[in-house]
Amino acid sequence: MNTTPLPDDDRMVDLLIEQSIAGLNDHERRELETHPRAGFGADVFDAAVATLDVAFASEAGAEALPDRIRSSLADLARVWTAEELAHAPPEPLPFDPAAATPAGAARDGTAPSPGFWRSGGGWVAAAVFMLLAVSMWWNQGASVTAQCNTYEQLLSSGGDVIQLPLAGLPALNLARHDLDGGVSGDLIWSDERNQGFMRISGISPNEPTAFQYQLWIFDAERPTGALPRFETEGIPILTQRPVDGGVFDIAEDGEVIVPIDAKLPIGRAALFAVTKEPPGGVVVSERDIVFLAVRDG
Amino acid sequence: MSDDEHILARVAAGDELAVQECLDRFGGLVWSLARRMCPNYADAEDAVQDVFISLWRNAGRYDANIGTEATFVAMIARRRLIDRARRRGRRPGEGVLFTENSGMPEDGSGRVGGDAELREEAVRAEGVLDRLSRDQQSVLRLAIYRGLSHEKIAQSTGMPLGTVKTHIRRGLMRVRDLLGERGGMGVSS
Repeated sequence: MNTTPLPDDDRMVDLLIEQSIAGLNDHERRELETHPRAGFGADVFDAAVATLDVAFASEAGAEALPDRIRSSLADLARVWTAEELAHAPPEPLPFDPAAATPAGAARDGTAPSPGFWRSGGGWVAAAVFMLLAVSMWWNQGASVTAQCNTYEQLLSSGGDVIQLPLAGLPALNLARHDLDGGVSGDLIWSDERNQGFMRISGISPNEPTAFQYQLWIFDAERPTGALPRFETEGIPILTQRPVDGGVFDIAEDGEVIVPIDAKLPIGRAALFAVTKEPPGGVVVSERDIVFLAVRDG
Repeated sequence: MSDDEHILARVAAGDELAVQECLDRFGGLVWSLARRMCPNYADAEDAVQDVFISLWRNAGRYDANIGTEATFVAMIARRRLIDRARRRGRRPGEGVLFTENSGMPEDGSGRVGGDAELREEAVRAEGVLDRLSRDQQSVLRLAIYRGLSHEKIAQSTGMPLGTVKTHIRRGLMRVRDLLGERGGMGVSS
C-alpha cells in the first residue's frame, strides 16, 4: 500500500488526485512540477482510485469481453507468450551443456548461451505472427466475397437492396441543422450483405480535427434492453440501440459516396442517422443529428 | 494465497494457461474501464489490447502485500487509458455520456457469472466504498465511474465546486487510510 504522506496543500492534493483519475493537461502538469511542494510520488492516489474502479465495476454488474475481442486477445496472448519465452533465459535442460556449469557460475549471473533458443524461439514467434496475419487476411477475404465494391455494384446486385432518400431535419419539421445546407442524395443498404453506401450532397465539409460525421444504424431486430428511450420533438426516432456505422469526412462540396461500415451484423435496418461528433466518433451520441434516412414499414 | 495461485505471478513466469486465465478473469474489468474511457468502440478495442500487453509485461511487478490483483489490473488499465487519451489531447471519458452498451455488441457475449476470486476482491473493494459518506460515494462515482470533471459534477449535483473538490479529496484520502489499515486489503471486510 502506498503510505507516502500527503502534502498539506489542497491544490497539490487536487492535482495529484486529478493525475490519478484523469491525467493532467499540459498546464496542470507544469503547475504540479513547479509547485513549491513538488516531489510527491505521482501515484499516491492510484491504488485508491483503482480500488474504487473495482468497486464501481462490481456495482454495475459482471461484464465480460465481447467474444470477438476475447478471441483476438487470446491469439495475441499466444503470440506474446511465444515471444516472451523466446527471449527469456532458457531453463537448463538435462542434455544442455550449460546444466553442467558449476553452480557458482550460474549464481553469478552467467546465463547459458541463449543463442540457439533465441533464434529458434524467434522463428516460432515470427511463424505464429505470420500464421495470424494469414489467418486474419483469409478471414477478411472470406467475409468480403459477398461484398460489392461500389455503390453501383451494390445497387444493381438485386436481392434485398433498399434505396432510401436522405432527409434533412426540415423534412421532419425539426429545426434545420447548421451543417445541412439542403441535404440530398440517397442511401442503399442490404441486410443480407450487411453493406451499404450513402450518396450525399448538400452538407458542409468538415475539418476532421474539429469534428466528424458519424453514421448510426437502428436495427429493428435489436432489443432495446433497459436503456432509456428518447424522443425528439415527440418523434421516437432513437428508441432503438444504434449500431456504429462508421465515421466519415466531407472534404468538399458536391456529391460524395460514403461506404457504410457497420460494426455489427444488422438484422433489419430501420433507420439511419448521421450525427456531428468529436474526431474519431463516439460510443454514445449526444444525438446532434444532421440528417436521416428512414425505411418505411 | 501463494504466489503459485496468483494468476499474475504465473503470467510473469510465462505460463500460457495463466495468460489465458488472466483474460477470463480480468477481461470484463478492463473492458468496462475501456468502454467508459474511450470515445468509440474501435478505440476501446485497441485500448483493451494495449492494456493487456502492458499487464502481461508488468505482471512481475505485482506484490500481493500491496493490493489485490484486481486493483493492480485496474491501476495498469487506468494508467494506459489516461495515456492514450492525453496523447490525443483529450480528457479520458470526454464525449462519452453514458455507456450502457450503446453501440456495443449485444450478442450476449458480454455477460459472465463472475469469477469467485474476482468476486471476493470486488467485495473487499465495495467494503471500502461503503465506509465513505454518501456524498463522497456519490461524487467519486461521478468522477471515477462516469468520468465527469469537477465542474460537470457541480452542475449535475448542484453542489458548489469547492464542495465537490472537498468530497473527492476527503473521500480518496479516506480510501488510502482504509487500504493502509487493511494491510493492502489483505484483511476481508
